[in-house]
Amino acid sequence: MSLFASEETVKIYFDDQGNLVETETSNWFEVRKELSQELYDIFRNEMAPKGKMRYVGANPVIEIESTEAPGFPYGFLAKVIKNWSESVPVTIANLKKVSKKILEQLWEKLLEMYELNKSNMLLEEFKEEENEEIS
Amino acid sequence: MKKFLKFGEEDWVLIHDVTLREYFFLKEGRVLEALPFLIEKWSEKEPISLTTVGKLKTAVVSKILSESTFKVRKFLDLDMKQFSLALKNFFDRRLTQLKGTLLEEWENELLLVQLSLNDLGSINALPERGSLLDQPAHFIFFLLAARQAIAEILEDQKKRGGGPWLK
Repeated sequence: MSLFASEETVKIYFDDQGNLVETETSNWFEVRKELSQELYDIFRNEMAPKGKMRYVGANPVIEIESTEAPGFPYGFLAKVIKNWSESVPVTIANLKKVSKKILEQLWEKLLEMYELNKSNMLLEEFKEEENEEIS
Repeated sequence: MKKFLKFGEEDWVLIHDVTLREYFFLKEGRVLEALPFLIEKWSEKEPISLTTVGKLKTAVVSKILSESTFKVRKFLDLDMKQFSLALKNFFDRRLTQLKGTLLEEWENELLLVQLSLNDLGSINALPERGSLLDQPAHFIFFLLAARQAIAEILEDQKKRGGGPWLK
């Protein structure tokens, strides 16, 4: 055990039609098993609406500056994917060439794996917990 | 106040209450920059820095944040109108018992504030070492509320023709 997130990786397989499958095939992505705080910050910056956080009383609220929807997080994927079955390296430019069907399925699988399917991610860190005070 | 958080059997982190400096960082959502100031010691061998803090598990960070911001959130949740009235009564020596009032939970801070401020309400000393930015955020907010209460008392005395001093 350690305080740090583990560097272990998992392989995610796709068949020739571009469907996500459990069995081993020749098309695969090798991704991180666990998210560290640094990667989580990158995810938050890419996916969260652009805005600032401030306090109203004790409650943190987000002031949204622009209403543009965030784009597909290629930067986050390029950090999380360690290796893949293609011969070219994993970069943002190369990731944009992958088919839409595969990327969308991969993205949903990753959200499920890292438990990022929450409505308010920014406020998640400040959620109330009933702890006894340790001093 | 220092806090010792345990994760599992071997891992631990020593943190303190959020200071004014870290409060400014967290207010803008800059969590990674606040963490090296917030963590004092940990069970890992690597030194605490901006790069090593990034490797922490997200669950550990969220626990650290919720524990260290506990007191500031509690203070900011108070009804300030009633709280400043209670403070005014306390410094005017009209309040004999803390029990049952809003000040009951803030006994330690009340003691520290009386030692920090002089009779005219200016700051003599601060509880933690370092500058104003290194003081606990909730204590600074408490100090400002106490100063305001003392200033109001002195003003009332002047109107009545008395000298500016606390009883």
